[in-house]
Amino acid sequence: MEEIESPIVPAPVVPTAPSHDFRVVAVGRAGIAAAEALCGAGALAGVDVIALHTDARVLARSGAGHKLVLNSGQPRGLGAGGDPALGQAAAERESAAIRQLFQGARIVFVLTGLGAGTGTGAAPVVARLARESGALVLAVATLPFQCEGRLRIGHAQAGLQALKAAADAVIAVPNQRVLASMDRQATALDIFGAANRLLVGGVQGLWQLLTKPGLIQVDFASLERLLRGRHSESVFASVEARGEHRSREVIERLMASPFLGPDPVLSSADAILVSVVSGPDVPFAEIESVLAHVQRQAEQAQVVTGTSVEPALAGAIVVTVVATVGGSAPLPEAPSRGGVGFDMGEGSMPLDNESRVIGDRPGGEYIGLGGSLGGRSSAGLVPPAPDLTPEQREQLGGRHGTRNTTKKKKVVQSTFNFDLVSRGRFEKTEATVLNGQDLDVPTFIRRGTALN
Amino acid sequence: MFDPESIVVGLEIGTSKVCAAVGEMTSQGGFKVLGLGQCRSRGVRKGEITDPQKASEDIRLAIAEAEQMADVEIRSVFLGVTGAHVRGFNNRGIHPVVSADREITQEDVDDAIRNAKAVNLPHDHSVLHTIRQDFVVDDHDGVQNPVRMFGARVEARVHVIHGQGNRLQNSIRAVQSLQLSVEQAVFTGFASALAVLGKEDKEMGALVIDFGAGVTEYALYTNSLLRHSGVLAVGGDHVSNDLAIGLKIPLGRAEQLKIEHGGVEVGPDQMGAKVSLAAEPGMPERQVNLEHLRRIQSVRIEETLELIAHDVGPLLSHARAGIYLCGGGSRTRDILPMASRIFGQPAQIGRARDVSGSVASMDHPEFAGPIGLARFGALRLGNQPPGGGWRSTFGNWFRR
Repeated sequence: MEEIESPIVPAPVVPTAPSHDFRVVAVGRAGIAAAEALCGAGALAGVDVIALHTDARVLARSGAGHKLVLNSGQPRGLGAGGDPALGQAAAERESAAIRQLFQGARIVFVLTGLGAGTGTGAAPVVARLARESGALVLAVATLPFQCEGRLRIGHAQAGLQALKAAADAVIAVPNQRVLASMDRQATALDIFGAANRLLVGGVQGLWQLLTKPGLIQVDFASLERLLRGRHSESVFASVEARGEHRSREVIERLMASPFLGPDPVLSSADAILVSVVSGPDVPFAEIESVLAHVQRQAEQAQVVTGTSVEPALAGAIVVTVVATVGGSAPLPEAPSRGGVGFDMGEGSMPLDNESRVIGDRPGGEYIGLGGSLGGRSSAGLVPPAPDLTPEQREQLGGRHGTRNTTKKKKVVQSTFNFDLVSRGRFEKTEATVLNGQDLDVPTFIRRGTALN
Repeated sequence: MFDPESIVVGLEIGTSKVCAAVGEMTSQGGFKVLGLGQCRSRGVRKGEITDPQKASEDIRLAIAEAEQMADVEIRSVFLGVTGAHVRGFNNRGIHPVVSADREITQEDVDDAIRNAKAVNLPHDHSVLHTIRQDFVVDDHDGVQNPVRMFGARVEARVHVIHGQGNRLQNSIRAVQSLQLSVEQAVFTGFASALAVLGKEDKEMGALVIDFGAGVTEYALYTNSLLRHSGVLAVGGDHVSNDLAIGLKIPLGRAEQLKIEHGGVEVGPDQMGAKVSLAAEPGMPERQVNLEHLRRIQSVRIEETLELIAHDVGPLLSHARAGIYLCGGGSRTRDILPMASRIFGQPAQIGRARDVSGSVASMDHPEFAGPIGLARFGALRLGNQPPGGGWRSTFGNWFRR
């Protein structure tokens, strides 16, 4: 037991170059389109983009480095046809091949569009497989427009839940919000262009944050610590401003970003990652004022800040914010992982050591998990995992993955879901929000005062 | 019978009650309350009108009662306004003295105040009050009146209270629809402080908290100057609502329970004690855990006071005369020890002071607001022209 409780494990030196640790996986047509937009923007130089789709013809047209056709079981290489079940089945069928793609990955971006067949069905499976191979999985998913119909929105919601359960963090990009932020005259091209730009900006910002050496470094470890095991939904925004009033403008644009408004997302966020990339000529006072502003907005949140200098951005400030809302606190790794599957690499790990999922993978790479996370030690609480064959485990993970995770989350749920509380007398009045707290909600609920 | 010129009326459209106070300026410069009229309020939430129709009816009833009690005809009122949108902050305006001999004239002072008034407000906000604090002449602090002093630079310090124009207009319109004119819209928190604090209290420094049903207003005086004011849109209604949710009882019964058994101390007497809710048609008799009731109420009131203490900040230590609580919420059992603990200052119930007239009315902390409004009116009319220690720019706009 003592061995289990000690969280500190010396990190072995990682010999691989950082870019090899990253993978961008585009699942489905929308994901591939987003990945192409990213490549077009030159954001992902030197990164392997992997395209997955059920439709061979779409794949043939894409310029991705690696392609994998998911056989949907439909005749003549047709796609999933808008049926998430087919997409899921196709991904499960190819799970061995997909797992191969994540060999040695430390961070995996899953780009997808939810609502149709492949993205909705396969992306959660892909995220789960990536997570099982030890990577930190960030999914970026676009949600359909409202006019795309109830069926698609329903699929998208279910897919988002599944993706949240499978990935460490999901960044949802609701297209409807983009639409709402544009004026009535905007054409379809404008809107899709704007949605793509927001997506590209966000991913690019995140990318820069993780790969470029910074003055105040936000590295992989801090991102991982912030996101790992939260299974939360995040929003992101990346804005740029230049000129004399750039520090003020950049804040204004950030606040006006369709993804951060109109609800007070920042003030209600649990965890926030802010990165400021600036030109070499930008005074530090400006950067400081931007960071201070975000900190002020987000008093409740755990805020991780980073700054770096990019010579190409002379005279400009680029701010990227990733805000995580309403996730559970980072779980001790074992329970959450238990829900989504145990299969670590070649299954070399004894299962009864599940509660400390740390150790060397066959490739010799260190997976930083578990122990370093905040929260209570789970060692004493988690019963030894049942002795299962790999097939049984896969079955269990595949079938009950989502449900299992939700159940586990409930056990450690620390915040009350306010939506369930009637605002009673104040139903129709303007909410009294102070420092991100809705004061109309009874204090004893917000403070968690126990009434036996 | 009365000189109509000397009659001033304060009207507060509160969340739980609409209350009008009729006051008279006596020939000796005193102030006397002639009558009070009140009516249960139905169209107000969090200090702001949500149903103008009902609010107008309630105002009419309250005014009629006040007219009857004071035996006067009411034509115009000083109207109390409040709401979450009302805010106060301190500002300063600078004016260089240009005259050859460097003697400061009244014009220099007026200019400095004008500069202090030119504040950067949100575009839809209007200034309710600009209250003069003191002046700085060159680097000489705390000058009361710099006229005829010598200096190169006058700096005026003011406290500005502002609110969203449209929302202020809502209550003004509700009154005007009854063919009553609004002399001036006055921030209720400021009016309560005027009623509750005597001259010495203001000098020593005091914090007045008007704990109403819908909102809680507060105003802090130090060295006879209004230094801080604000509104928190949390009040007694929140306590009732918390109780209704926590104890799973209807809101009306929660309100009743709060009045009969409420309090903020959870002592050994309350541990495990029960109180019974009498059976009513359609509602069986029920037992309610008194400890839970007290605990729910206690955390809410504690939080509200803490938020105010946090907002007032370090200025609190200047409130040497202590904390004055008025409004219906000040009737909460054991609230004074709690307030003393949170603010670190002695707390007491605030009642209208330096006022003659019907003693019964002044004894109730609920009436500090309307009496303060009438008092504000008396001070204002008594000082006209030109404005005295405080000025207002807002009221004149609404005089029709």
